[in-house]
Amino acid sequence: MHLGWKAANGMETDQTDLTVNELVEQARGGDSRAFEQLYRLHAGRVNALCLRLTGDPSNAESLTQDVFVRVWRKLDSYRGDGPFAAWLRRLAVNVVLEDRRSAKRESKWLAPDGEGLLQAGAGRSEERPERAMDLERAVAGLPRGARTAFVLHDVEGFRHREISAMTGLAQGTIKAQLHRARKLLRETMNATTVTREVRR
Amino acid sequence: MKHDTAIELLDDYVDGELEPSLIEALEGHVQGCVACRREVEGLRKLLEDAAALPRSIEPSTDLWPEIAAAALPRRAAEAPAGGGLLQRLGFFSWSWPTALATAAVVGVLLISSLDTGPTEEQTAAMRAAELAALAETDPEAAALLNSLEAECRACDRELAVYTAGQSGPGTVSRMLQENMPVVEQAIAEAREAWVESPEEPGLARLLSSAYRAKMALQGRAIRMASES
Repeated sequence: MHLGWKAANGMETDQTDLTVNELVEQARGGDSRAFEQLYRLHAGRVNALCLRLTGDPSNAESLTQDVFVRVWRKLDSYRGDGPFAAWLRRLAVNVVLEDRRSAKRESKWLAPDGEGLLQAGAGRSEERPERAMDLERAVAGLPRGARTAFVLHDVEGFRHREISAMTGLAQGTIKAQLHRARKLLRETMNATTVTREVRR
Repeated sequence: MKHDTAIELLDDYVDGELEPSLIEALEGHVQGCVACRREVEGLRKLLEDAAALPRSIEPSTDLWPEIAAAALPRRAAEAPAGGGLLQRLGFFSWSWPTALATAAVVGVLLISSLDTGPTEEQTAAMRAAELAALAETDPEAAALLNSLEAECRACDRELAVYTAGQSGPGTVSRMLQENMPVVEQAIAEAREAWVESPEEPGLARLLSSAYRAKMALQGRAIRMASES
């Protein structure tokens, strides 16, 4: 199999796309081993998305599970007219947003402090620059709407109209949330930088 | 362009989404406005930082066993008639000679691993009595347990169809002999605990996981045999 680091990071080459599409076809036919390969290729990417949208590692992992269970059930609806990773990302966002709407887990969405998100990456903390960790913490501390807009637009690369379609909010609202998120993040990042320089 | 107007356009500008007709006027203002230049620099730096965040953060534990337990049986249940355990395990993605030979090996090994405890009829009668008692206190739990056991019995029957009159080699045999008793014991213990305390949701999950583990073991045996 030609499954390299690019696929693991969600940046698929043409060759990897071919392999992923083969795995998708095999999984559609009921091959659980192929589906497991798809899971192992994309679990980190999906978990990162869920983690940033929720700010809660435990909830994020539960949602990551939900995403792949949903993928298995909906594989037949993937038409192959775009990269599998892009289809998977949209599905993951929908799962997270649906979960957010459900009152059942509402309490888990309240006021993440960012520490949980940083703990989730603690095993790789030496590899993560200080500034990235500051940003992760600041993102997790954003109000929910602003966090969603920032994560989906600036981290995940969705367009305004795509976010609008997924969230059901007007593009103007998305832009306003994004503007607010960027403003708050820059203020937080500047304050963090100043504090750190003073301590040194 | 006025400063207030320019400020409102900066997000679209750094995103590359500003209407072309406005770009020249905005850039003209930004060149002469210190505040707007800082704003653009700050926004670009933030976007760089966002782009540099790790794209992948692995879950703290392997989520696959839970995903497989939750998803695979459901997909199989939705499969067309004729699909069962072997299809769930990817059996039909192999060539028929390999699949049949492999299934034969596994079936014989599973049959040979049976112990000399109560007969099947005795066990079935004992379990039916337990289920009847459980149904009186918790019908939902009894229905779920009944469904899990029916699924396992169906798997056994399915394997038996494919394995009649066949025999097979030793590596897979040893693996099954070493592991199947552990799985069967886990099922028995989880079942006993759940029958005693059906109100404990964790026990239902434990029992369900034990049954799934049995199916996973059968699947692993099939794969090992096919690759040897």
